[in-house]
Amino acid sequence: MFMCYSKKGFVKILEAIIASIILIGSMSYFFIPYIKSSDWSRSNLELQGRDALVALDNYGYLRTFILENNITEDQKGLEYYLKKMLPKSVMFSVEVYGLPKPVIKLGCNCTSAEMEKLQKMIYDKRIEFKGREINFSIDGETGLENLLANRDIDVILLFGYKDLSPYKSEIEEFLGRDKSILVVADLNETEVNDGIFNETFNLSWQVGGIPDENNDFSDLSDPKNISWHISNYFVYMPVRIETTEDIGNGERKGNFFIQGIQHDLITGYNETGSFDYVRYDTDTKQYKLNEVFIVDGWSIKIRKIDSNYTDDYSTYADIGIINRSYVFNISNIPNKNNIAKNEKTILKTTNGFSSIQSNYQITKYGKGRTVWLKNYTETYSDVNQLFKSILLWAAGENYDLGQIFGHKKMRPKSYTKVYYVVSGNQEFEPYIIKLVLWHIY
Amino acid sequence: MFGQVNIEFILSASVFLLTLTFISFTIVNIFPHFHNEAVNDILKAKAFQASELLIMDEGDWSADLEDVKRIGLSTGDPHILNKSKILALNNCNEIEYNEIKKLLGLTYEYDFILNITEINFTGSSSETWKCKPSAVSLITKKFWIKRLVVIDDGADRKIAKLQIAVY
Repeated sequence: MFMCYSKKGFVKILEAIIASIILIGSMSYFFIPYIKSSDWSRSNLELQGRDALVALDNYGYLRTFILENNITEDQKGLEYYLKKMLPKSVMFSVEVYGLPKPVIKLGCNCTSAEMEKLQKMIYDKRIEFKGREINFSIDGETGLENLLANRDIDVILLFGYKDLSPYKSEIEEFLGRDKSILVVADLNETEVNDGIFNETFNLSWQVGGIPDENNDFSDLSDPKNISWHISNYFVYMPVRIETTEDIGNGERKGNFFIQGIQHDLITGYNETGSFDYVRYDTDTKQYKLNEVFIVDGWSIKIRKIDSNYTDDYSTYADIGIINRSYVFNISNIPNKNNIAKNEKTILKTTNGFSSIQSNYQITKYGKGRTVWLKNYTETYSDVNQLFKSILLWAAGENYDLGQIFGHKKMRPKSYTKVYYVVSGNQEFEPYIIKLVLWHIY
Repeated sequence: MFGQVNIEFILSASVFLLTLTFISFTIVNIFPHFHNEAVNDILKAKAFQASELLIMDEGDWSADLEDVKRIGLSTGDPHILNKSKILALNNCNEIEYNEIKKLLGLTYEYDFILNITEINFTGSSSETWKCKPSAVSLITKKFWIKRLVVIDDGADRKIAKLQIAVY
């Protein structure tokens, strides 16, 4: 009897212990205070980043820093000001979207003769484009494999057809880094359909017909079109015309081309009015800086004049055609370049063939740009104006200032991003500044 | 002779009651954490709200601070502050402080400190403008928010830090 009561009591204690365990177990969720973080630290950092950009813009410095490429701490540029404004424990990096790069690095897979041709096509490696200084640098590396592996190069240039099949994977990798390839070549049907050129450069052969020698921008009806975008660069792009020949009276003469026809361009200095001037052909009128003269119905704007020979033994005028509807004269070789026009065509012949074909968002992640350009005479200043405009687009219209700051490599996995749209500037389309911020600790 | 309640019952009841007491205490002790967090969040929200009001809104000003209907310091353009409005707030007295507090939407249990300091990019000395209560508690937890603004005095513009603490 006692044993029976004793066991019953033991079971009761056991029950109580089990009930306690269940109770503690089931209520354990409430033991640790679960407080969802308000993420204030990140929000505060984002707020300070946005404030810094807004304040700099209201101060009138932000656009100047970007457009004048006044970036580093040593230049007392963007980095210097952001460092003063943001807490010392914060590091940052800046990316710009929607603006041509300030330095465009070209790699040419070409012979010395082709390199000479490229130099003539670019001519002045330092241009003033819509008030911005843009520099072209050409890498002398000749091996295509080396160029494709070079991470600094923005655009690789090829002259003439080249069998690219041995480099297929390297090209994919290169374009995957959001880089570009530009080829200047006259192509026949076999070359177009080699499996690489047609895919990479978005080319397809059109049977029948002969491409006309007159060419214009493919479709200017919609600003979303690539041809409209390039035409917008074209009308602001200067080409340098050196006036090398002394023709007396302090005037010097050079040449420019309109639709394949050579014209004289004369620079001089008007002592009475104290201004540099430009004349063309037999026209005696002296055109000043920013004035427009008309040749064969096409408007040409004078963007810069240097008529002083004695300072650096060089005189020149930077001029540019400002008509979007300009008709280029590029002659065609028989049985070549029967390229069908499509929505990515930049320049078309007046009878509907493509003369300059672009391709973009090539890789599976939407990166990479390519351009095929019909071969042309490198002295044609009008086509060179277009060629430079294409280079601006091909080099990509975003760039990372973090590489200049040297901070990018330090960026941790967790960081905060702030986007600031700079708009309202008449010269440039709206562009975006991305500020990436992170705490050092 | 058996007792009224046997020892096993007492033991099991004790175990159960102890557990219940432990759980109750643990849960009750959590509430201050939640409360503290909520108070912090309210302070952050109030400081942010006050800073937004100061830098985004132009306000509705009159010559006398007591007649100001809305406190915004902006010139009309967000992030650009009117220097004369800042000077009006500088070294505020007790009456002005209470008026500004009311205009910032802070009730009697809250206080604030406002500091506006020019950022010096060149190495010369920076100007500072302040508005704070006559006595500032050193032990009360304060929440500071820092904003970057531009001060416009009509002729010149300067970048400045606007710091506001609510406590």
